[in-house]
Amino acid sequence: MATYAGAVAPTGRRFQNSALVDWITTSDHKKIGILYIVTSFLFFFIGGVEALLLRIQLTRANLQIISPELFNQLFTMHGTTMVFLVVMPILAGFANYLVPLMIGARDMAFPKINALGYWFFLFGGLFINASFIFGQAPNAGWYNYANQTELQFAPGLNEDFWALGINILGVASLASAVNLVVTILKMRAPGMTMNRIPLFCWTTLVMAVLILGAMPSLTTASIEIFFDRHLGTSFFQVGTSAGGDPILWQHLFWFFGHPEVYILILPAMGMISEVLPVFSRKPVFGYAFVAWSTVAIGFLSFGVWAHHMFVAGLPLVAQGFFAITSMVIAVPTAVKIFNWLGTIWGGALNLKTPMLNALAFVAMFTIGGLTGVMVAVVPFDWQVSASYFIVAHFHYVLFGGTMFGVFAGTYFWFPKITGRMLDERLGKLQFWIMFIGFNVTFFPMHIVGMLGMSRRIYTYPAGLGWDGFNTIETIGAFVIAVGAAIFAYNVWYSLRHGEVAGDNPWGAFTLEWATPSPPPVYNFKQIPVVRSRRPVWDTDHPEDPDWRRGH
Amino acid sequence: MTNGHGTPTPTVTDEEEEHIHLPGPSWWPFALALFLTVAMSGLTILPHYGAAASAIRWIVALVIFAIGAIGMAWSIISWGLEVSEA
Repeated sequence: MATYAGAVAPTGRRFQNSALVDWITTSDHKKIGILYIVTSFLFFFIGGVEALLLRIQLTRANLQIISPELFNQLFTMHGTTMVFLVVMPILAGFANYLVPLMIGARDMAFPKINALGYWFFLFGGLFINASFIFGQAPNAGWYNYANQTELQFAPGLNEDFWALGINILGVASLASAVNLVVTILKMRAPGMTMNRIPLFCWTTLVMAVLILGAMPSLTTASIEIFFDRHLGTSFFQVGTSAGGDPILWQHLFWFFGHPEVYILILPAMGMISEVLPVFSRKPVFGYAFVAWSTVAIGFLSFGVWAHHMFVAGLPLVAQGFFAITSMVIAVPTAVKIFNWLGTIWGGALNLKTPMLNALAFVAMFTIGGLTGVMVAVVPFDWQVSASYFIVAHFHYVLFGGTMFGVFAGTYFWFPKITGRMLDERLGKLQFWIMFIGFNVTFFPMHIVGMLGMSRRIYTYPAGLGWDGFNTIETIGAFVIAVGAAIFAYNVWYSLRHGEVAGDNPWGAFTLEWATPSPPPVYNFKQIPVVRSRRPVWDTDHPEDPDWRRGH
Repeated sequence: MTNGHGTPTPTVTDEEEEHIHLPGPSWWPFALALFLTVAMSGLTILPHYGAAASAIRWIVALVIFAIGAIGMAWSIISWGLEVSEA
């Protein structure tokens, strides 16, 4: 019987003398995945510094530590950075690295288009951030509402950087999405049916389809902003004879923006769907339900966008429709949570750092999901719209959910990617500091939001009952920063001194763990034949393979 | 059979060891993305509609855009003509 590992010299992929040239010209999905992940963490640092500056400004009433103009630029760039330059690309990075390995392929379907996607992402990120050099970073919020973007209200270059930068990043996302869809549908190993692909592949597939459906709405709308500003069109101009309407921007943006929420969370759900079974020593509970609930979420996510616009004056019927669909989408999400709990229920739990982060994902995302259902109720939304309650809600989803999922995935797959284990002691320390810091920062935002504190305000008067909560939130933000610093140190330390991982240090089940750590450039010496959802379990346990049970 | 680290490997196809072909490295994805960003930089400094702007600003914007656009065309064509290594 042949093995996957072995010294085979693949043709086509040359090895360069210069490491820099090798990385710049690479078309290897694993290297491109690493580039995505590392670059995203660097942007995470930038977005984190922006957040800390915002928090410092809001620590107490009547502070004027930074200028209002800079404050506007910072909150816009914090949101833009975290959404487009951190969460989306880091998930794309894990997908790039893992999907071909998980499905038994040697690379992505279009390796050079894959490289193109990464370079578009990097240059798009640098392009938008270059606006700081000119003191004209985007300043109309990450959702860039018209007509704050029109010339009479935004005469500088700020919105030009945003509109054009988003287009570069949009092309990057589309290139990556096309690749992922074709790879998952067409490049699976023999026996790797859609009913057997790892759940991370299911969530990645749906995420990629959502990008293909949603992203054109944003890129089109941002081109229209550019036309309004440079060609004198009036797509979003109010009160012109040409019939423009700023509400059109909101529709176009949120038609992208709400599927975007699921673009940002589904792959993280996939990650923990891989982590929880391994650290519970059980198969995932209800594979088909988790997979099909992902598809249901993807489908429904295109029908909920206007719940972001309940205060924009929608007709009553539209409000009712979008309120109902926004509640309905909670059902497949709840199915997932039920299945994750079913997976760990009765399992032999091993509370290593990946598992701790995965459990934090389930708990924090559930809180964020529940407040999401609350703001689907129209009268409640009217009260808290554009308040810090909303800021708390989406940070519980995107930081408490996605980022804890990403940390779970990072600790889980770091040994596969680098060949070394991340230090467990530092990992647990980082987890608890970040978990505490996260809740100290964001939970009080629910309360100040209910007390009437609007998001994006530069400062506030004393005596409103907000000071103490804001001070606590700022302290929490610095605690998170300490956690992030420990993580960075852990990566640096473990790359040099970490325990050698071996091929399958967690006793995991899916195909990437059947390769050496790190995998060779060609992934598999011979393409594997798959007979169940847990191929590595099958070979580890020939006395009790999954395929005997028909999985 | 194990893979050297104690983990048994799954069954693989029993065919002859196959010829592994992977695409070679390429500068063109990097170049295309770089030139697109250059073109976008030119568009960014293009004067706004109705704004009084000097001729120099127009020229600088259009020259930068043209460099980016020509570079993009060059990258796309060169990428298309790139010899796939066998």
